[in-house]
Amino acid sequence: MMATATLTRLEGERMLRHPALWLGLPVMLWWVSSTFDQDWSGALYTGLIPAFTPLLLGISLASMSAFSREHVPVADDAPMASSQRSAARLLAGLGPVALTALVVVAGTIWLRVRGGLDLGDEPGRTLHAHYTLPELIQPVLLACVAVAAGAAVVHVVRSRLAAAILLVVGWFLVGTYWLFDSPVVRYLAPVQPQPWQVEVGPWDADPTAFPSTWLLSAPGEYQDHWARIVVSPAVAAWHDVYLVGLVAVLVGIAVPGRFRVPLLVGGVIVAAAAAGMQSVVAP
Amino acid sequence: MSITSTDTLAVTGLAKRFGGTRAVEDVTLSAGRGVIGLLGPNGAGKTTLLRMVATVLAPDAGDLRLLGLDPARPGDRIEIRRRIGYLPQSPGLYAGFTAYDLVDYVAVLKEHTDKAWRQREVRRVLESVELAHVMHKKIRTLSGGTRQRVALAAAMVGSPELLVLDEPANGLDPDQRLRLRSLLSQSQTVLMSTHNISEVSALCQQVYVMFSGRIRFSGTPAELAALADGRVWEDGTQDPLAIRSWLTAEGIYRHLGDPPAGAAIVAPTLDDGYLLLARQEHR
Amino acid sequence: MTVWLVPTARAISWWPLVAVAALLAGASALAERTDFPVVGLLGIAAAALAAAVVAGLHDAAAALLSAVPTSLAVRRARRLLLLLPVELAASWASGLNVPLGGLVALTAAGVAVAFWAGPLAGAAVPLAWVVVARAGGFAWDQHLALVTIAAAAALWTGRNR
Repeated sequence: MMATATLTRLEGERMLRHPALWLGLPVMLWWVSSTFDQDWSGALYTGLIPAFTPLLLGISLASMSAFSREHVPVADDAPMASSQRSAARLLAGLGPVALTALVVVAGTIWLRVRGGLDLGDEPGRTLHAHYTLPELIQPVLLACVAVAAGAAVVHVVRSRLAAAILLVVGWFLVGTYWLFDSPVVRYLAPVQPQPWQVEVGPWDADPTAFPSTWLLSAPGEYQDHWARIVVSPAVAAWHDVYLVGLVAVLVGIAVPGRFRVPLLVGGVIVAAAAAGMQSVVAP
Repeated sequence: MSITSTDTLAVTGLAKRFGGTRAVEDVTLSAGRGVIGLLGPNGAGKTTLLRMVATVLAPDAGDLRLLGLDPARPGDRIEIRRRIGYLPQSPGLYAGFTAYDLVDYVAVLKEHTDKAWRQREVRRVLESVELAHVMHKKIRTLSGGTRQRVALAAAMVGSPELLVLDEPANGLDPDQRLRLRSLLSQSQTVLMSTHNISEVSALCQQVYVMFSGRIRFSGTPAELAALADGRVWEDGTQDPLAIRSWLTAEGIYRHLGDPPAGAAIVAPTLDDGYLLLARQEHR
Repeated sequence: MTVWLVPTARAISWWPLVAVAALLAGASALAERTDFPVVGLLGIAAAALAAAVVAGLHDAAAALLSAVPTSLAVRRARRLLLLLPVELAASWASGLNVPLGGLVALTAAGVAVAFWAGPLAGAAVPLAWVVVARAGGFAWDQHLALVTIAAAAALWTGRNR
């Protein structure tokens, strides 16, 4: 147990020193700042969570690098089993996860100080929108997914270079959230930005006739109708559960030992159930 | 040391730096037919020297003549490469190839385009390193020593006039080492680096010893051993005045240095000559 | 003359190109199903294909082959001769209509950097290019001709490095 803890600390320090992690952070901040340049209402609310993509990619690459060491036979005769070594590497991933949590906390404080975000179009508009707790948890769970994904991809592909390419493409695809903005895919794509839009009237409807508590999205370049903007903490919460299932599946793929099958089976069940619940509670 | 135009290999004042590190400095050596050994501790510059001789690395200064040609000239370099074989220290191999496929591929890259000739030659070299029975097995299934022999066979394809071998006995068992010796003794000119002094004494007509990028000794193995003439003695206890002392398998101490009066002087070996040289170098 | 063809094809690691092609085909199908304009995918598709080509330049037996008369430039050219048509085919098969200019520029830049600094750095270039462009909110397909010319010059000068 002590040996596993020591290896965890060692791998954790190494993972936190990985340059991809520290390159991901400024690129993420740049992504955030470029989100400010977009002039449509809700751009920030919708764009801030996908802006974590470079950091998540950096975490995945750092994790991939740590897990690629499993392919080098070092001290195979040592008493520490390969499953213990994998567990130590996974636990070492908590360092980058904690870093992500710190970023989320700092961001939340910044949003409180700023007074919130712009969301909706007149007459259904607010300048003080704040993320709900399940939405704030999402980036932290995404960091867990990033650690597990890095481990799983290099376990399957074995080549570091090929694994790195797949991770970049994968994170970029799921990070550019609007690509998968369809009813089913948005439950399954790891990055799930809110709010949701529910069509409430044609382009020539009178927006003042809608309840005054509604946030609205006006007809424009991308839609020919009035829509209600809904932030759903219930969907976000079930999406968080889905991410937990996804982490279990990826860990099951990456880590050998007796927990592999329970992790895979349990992860698939949890992920499938949570995806199903998202569709049930969706607005 | 005199260099003649008939030498297969003639090196004068060769130097190579990597940043601030002088890897090879003012090296002069020559070789006609036979096996030439290159001894020295790790980091002495042996691999850098061999890479320059194999035309893989361009020297910063000095003159290099191989087979009467100048590798600095592109036309000459290609002609030299047609006539030499090179075994690097860590020869990577294509794991998915069979031993036969790999050696055949190297033969193609050595510009042997006649298929029938290649078939005969590939079989010949694989048989010469005693790999006929595994020639159609995938390299990923072969042991480390067998892979080393595959790489050796690849270096020997086409009966090169000059073989440049960087620690060819790496990973070979004693029986395979013995066979390597008889194989190399049949070759025209071989320049090989090794840490194994018994290899040098059994095989080499000429030996060079390198320390810190410079040649510190050149001569026959007997001349290297003779450096320690009258400076090796044995007795039952450790001698603090000796510059090196070690316990032998017979349970007696062997000492190197200036013997005390009445010491039991013994005949020096090649190891004694090398160790004495190494000790003088480190003073 | 083409005796090198089959062994060179076997020596190439096709994994990255096949995996990227499959991933892009899946994403393209999904985008089509959801009526999403695929333009947002083009940059990452071009970058991924370029990176996969660069990954195919990695030669596991490079040290063993370093002193053969077939020069490094020729060996690299042979690999590219095999990789580039597959890259184009994968781009076409993905159904994304990746712009050829962008694909050429990113591939040339990646290959040029790979010649000078190794396949890992080379593969990182097109990917970093697109990720940084996305993060900075600017178009990835700017100055393509300039980049291609600069990369071609770097390719030529570094062909035997």
